[in-house]
Amino acid sequence: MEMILVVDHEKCTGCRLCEMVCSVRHTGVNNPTRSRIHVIKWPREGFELPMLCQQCEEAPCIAVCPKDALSRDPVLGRVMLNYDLCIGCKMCVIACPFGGMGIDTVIQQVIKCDLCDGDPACVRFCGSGALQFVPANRVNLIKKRDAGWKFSELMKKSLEAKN
Amino acid sequence: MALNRKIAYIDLSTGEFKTAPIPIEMRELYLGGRGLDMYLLYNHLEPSVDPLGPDNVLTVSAGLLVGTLASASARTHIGAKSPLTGFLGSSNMGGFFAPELRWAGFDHLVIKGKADGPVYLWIHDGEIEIRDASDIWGENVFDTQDLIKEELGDPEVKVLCIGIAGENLVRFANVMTGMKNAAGRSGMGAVMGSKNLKAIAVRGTMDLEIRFPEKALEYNQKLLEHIGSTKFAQIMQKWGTMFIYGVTNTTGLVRVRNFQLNQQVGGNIECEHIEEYALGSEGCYGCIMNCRHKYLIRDGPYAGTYGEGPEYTSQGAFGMEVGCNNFETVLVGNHLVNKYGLDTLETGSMMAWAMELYEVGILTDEDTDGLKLEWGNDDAVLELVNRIAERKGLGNILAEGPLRAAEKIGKGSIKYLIHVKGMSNLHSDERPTPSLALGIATGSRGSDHLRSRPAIDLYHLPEELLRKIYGGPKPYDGPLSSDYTSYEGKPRMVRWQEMMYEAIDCAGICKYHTIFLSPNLIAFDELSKLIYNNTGMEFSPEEIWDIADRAYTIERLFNIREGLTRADDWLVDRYFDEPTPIGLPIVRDKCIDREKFKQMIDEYYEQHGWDEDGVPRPETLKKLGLDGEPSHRL
Amino acid sequence: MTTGTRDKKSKRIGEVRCQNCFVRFWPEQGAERASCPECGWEWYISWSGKLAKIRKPVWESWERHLAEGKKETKE
Ligand code: SF4
Ligand code: SF4
Ligand code: SF4
Ligand SMILES: [Zn+2]
Repeated sequence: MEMILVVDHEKCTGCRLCEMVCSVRHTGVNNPTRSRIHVIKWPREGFELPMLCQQCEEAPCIAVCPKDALSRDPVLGRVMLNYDLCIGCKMCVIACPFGGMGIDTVIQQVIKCDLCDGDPACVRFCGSGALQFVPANRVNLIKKRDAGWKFSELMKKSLEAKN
Repeated sequence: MALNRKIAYIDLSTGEFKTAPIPIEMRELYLGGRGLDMYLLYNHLEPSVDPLGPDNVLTVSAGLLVGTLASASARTHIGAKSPLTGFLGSSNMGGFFAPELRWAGFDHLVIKGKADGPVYLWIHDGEIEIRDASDIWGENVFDTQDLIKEELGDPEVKVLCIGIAGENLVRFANVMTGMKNAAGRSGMGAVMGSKNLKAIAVRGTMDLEIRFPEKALEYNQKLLEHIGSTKFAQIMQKWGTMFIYGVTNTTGLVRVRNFQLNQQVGGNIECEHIEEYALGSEGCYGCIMNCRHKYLIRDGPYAGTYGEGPEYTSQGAFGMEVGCNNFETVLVGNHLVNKYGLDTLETGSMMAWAMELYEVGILTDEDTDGLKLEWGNDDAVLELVNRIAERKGLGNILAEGPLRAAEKIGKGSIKYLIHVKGMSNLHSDERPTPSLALGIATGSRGSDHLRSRPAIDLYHLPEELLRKIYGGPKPYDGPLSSDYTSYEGKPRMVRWQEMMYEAIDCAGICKYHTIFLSPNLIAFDELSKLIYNNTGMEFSPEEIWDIADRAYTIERLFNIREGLTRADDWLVDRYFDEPTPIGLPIVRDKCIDREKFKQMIDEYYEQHGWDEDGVPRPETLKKLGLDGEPSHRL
Repeated sequence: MTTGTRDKKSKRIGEVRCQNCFVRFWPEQGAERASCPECGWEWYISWSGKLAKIRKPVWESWERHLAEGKKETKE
């Protein structure tokens, strides 16, 4: 079953643990510039949003790759990068609308989220539940349930207020 | 690897700097962070210098495990001689500065001298620059950070800075990073201000190697799962440190109206009120405890105010201590002190003291320029914060800190002060709890709950559990008591917590993840594993204890060199003479017994290997390898 | 399993501890107030999901409890 990594920015606490474990898992070192995920923050407003590859269906990165180094892996629902074919032209970095493609300046290669081959480290460590790895066809049901719960709480409150 | 970070010596007077590696032998002796800072201070500071003069030395450091797979490994330590107490200054903060400092290649900064005009340091990937800060001098904490990021053209830059309180040399000005992370205690912001150093900006992209990445990931995940499963963590995630007010006010262990009461009866500022204002929670680097709220005040005179926090100390400073009972005042007060860069705790205590002086007539409307310093006058309290930061009128006197202010005001005002070594006590009441009282009386940076407080003493834990915790890693078979009103075995608890907090500060881990407010969290055993997985250095729990002991003893030596005596390890008379008036039966009518307290201190010294005057014995120094200090190895 | 607290099972989650007599008890899920089964003191409870916590004393009955407490210690 295709799984997707969903982000709930309201839950994110901005701790950057996801960046740390992503970097350590892939490189053995902690260097956020080599992480596949980045928590983008607006500290004065208290807004933070973890950003990572969206594993697009019609991926611009695949479309622009001149060597067909990028391709969709339907089993894990990810866009995979084949380093044997990649020539490091960085066209994908330009094409990706989300910054999902990065450049690791230590090994001089482009990097992207590979969903940790089906066991995302960032999800495992995220303490707030802001990152979840869920079956693609259940994403909206989960959101509906969360929203429904908030709705029911509000209903309860308004009923209490009436009584 | 994590161990190849450097030390930078920066002289602001000449603009020169040099860098040096940190030899592994020094790591083995002090780990890093607070421990190594203490060594540096003891070696680089001349005795008896003016804390606000160019001869004071400021150290800024990242702990040994910062940025590694530990838990909340985010702590920056800042040290100098304290302008508040004249003894050791040492303060610790979370946020995102310390890991960035490591990615920029450094673990320790030793800052000396005084710049001619306002400057800030720009440290990036091994480079150090001293830059002009005249344009940002006078800006508040939040704008300063934004302006520097803008000037450097990188929003990912992390900035540690002072606000106008530090510029104005308020003796309890703090150093801030982000919206609320503060190295609050002991006036480190004033030391920065005295050096014309407005800020330190860092940005790094250098690898921080983890010695055994797979092991570290695996161990860390288990550890975090365990931490997350404790009830304490879940309460912190939901309510933050404000939950402490709920527990301690309910019992009668808070300080109300500058020590007049020990409970805010009818108190209505408990953490649950935050729900009306909260936007979510915020964590420090690598932390799953996310102990602070992001909040927004939506209407009223402060509509649009966004802040992070507040904490237990904010409830103290803008709640029970000053007789206020309005949660919004707590939020606004918290915002103000963060904006100005003031230590919340000291600010609240100074204000509460001034209000008591006003009540008994020592301060009059003339002294306060018409400000009615009556208990519970929210507007007056908030206005007084402005005046302290700006050093206006009475604020100018209070900005000098407890002892100097009492000297200026005179008229017996000193006997209303609640302090140890010239530093105000946390807004808790330790009269019913001898262990907590011993901790604040002996803390190496002055009155302090984060040096040695055995907070779990309040939980009435079974003796077997206490034995399991406090019985190691160095053997102890003396008494231990589950009763927090007892004097039995408490010196051991204090000594044990002292060693544990010191070790944790050397590592750069947050204390909330350790045996501080929960008996189920990290201590020596876990620390030993974390250090091994992340750095490859092998230390047994006993060896970590010894390192902590060494660092704590050098702190003692520092204080003794600055003139500290046994008389400084003592509480103000009110602790002994005024029994607690209210609270639950267990805490009522309690005060500290002078004789028993004296015995506790004797026992505490004895456990440290210090003589009856509190001076480390020669054999103790020899055992810890401190007999040759200062040794100038760094 | 994540390091998050979701679905955490810990028997202490719904339990509170009376601050007067230190006895642990389980308030009814969602209850705004609860009395200690041992000593009778009454507390406001706050909830975060199933997580229970004493919020504050029921100040209204505070004096009564204190008076009763005094009597007992005298006897
Ligand atoms: S680990 Fe989770 S909470 Fe922390 S920054 Fe990443 S997404 Fe946000
Ligand atoms: S790298 Fe960018 S374009 Fe490619 S799949 Fe990921 S998000 Fe889409
Ligand atoms: S799934 Fe793996 S590769 Fe992708 S962001 Fe998370 S940790 Fe990094
Ligand atoms: Zn009870």
